[in-house]
Amino acid sequence: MYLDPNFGSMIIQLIIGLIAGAGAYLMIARKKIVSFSFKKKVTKDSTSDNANEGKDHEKGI
Amino acid sequence: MKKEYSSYRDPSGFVYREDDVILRHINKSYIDKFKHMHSSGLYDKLVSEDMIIEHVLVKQESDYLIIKPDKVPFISYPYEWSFSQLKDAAITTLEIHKQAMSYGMFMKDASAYNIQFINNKPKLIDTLSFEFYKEGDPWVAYGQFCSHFLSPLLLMVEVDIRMLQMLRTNIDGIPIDLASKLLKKKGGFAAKQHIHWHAKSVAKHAMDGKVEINKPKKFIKVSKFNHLATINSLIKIIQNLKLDHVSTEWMNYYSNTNYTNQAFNSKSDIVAEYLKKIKPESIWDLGANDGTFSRLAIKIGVKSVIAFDMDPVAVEKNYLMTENHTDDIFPLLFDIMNPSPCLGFNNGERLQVGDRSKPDCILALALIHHLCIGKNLPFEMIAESFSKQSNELIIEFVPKEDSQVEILLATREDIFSQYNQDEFEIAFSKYYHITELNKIDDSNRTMFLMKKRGDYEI
Repeated sequence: MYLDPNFGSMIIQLIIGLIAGAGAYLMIARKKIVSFSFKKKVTKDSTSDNANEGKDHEKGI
Repeated sequence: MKKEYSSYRDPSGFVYREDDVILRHINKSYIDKFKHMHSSGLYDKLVSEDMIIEHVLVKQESDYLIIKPDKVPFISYPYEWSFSQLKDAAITTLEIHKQAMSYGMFMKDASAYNIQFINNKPKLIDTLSFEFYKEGDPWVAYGQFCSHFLSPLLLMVEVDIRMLQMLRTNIDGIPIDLASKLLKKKGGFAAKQHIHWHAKSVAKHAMDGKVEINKPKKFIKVSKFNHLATINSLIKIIQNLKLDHVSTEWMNYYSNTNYTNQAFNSKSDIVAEYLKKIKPESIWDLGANDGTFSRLAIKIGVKSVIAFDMDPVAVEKNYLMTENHTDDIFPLLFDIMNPSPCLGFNNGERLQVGDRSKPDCILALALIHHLCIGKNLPFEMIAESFSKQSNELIIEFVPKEDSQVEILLATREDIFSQYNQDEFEIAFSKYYHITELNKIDDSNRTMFLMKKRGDYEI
């Protein structure tokens, strides 16, 4: 089937595209921040675990 | 060669029949796009995801190609679908468009008529729907998508499930301005963007010819990121649409019915026995409700059952029970008193049900009293109508003493002196031979197996 492009529909796509695009961008940014802070937390936790492990070893536990 | 009457819009090609085989002619102007669809891997991807009908190339000339697509068992139209069928068709359209974009193409149209259900899976049947995508192109079929899919879905959720029938009178989809008026302020932000703002934008620019002349369409650029974000947001909007509040008198028919377990089992045994005897390959179950007897037919070995019902909620329930199974029950909305007519230019683009296919057998269980007493239809008109569709008929006669008939008669004058089993048999015997007749245990109903008389045979 063939469809003639509709000017009004195209204009609104510009606006909706900007809104949806901004939403998608924020979602991606949020995910990145969450995964970065999660990684940081995990690294910190594992570092402190390792540190404790070391201490435990030192204690002979 | 007989060209399909509805296949005139697309300059890329057309569909035609040769000895009852459907073929698609591809014009020279579309050959490079068709080849790209194959060489890029898009076609194989869509086939592997069960989203497009398969085809084989049967002829290749320098200025045209001919392909033979797989046969669609039964062509159905969007105004015959349930809410979830329309929803699944909409999501499939968007997913195909998204896939196409990752292979350098996009869908140039988004007509609901381009989707057909095969084993309850929506598939694109228009192989020529794809165009090359250029960064910045907006989706030319966006308006059509909103009219064919989003508007009716939102109207069904926010106004009434019966709003689907508007697609019958608007075969090019519900106009956005009309959808906006009917939705009023309902539908949340989704409706606000895609329907209300959209309607305003269309109205504004349709009236202002200067805008189109002075600012060529080239200036409208939608980045691929924003384009895909819009499509993803449409998918989410449609996935989240739910019919929570809807129920109808038929929805719990089998739990509210006057059948005892014994009567139900007896009826099931009789239907099974009849079906084993006549061994039909295809059945139309008229007034199928949630498809209880359609499923019985499939169990017995019937290959395909179309489960028609006039109640959109019953069809919805049946589809939801069917879509995850492999059995070939196809639930569709169909009102015997107001069946889908021939529509479109010269009444030739969309066909009435009887012109699309014929079943081997009709199943009309617990239906006759609704037609005769509920709608004043004489037996003979019903018999004649059924006899035009199939050679075999399994029909249940429900007498006046039955509590369901008593309910129907409770609010109307009993002008149905002819409504009795003798008159029923006389009227149907004009068109059919009654080959079997069995009383249903623990009930005053009777089952009939009928075979069409030779002079009326299809």
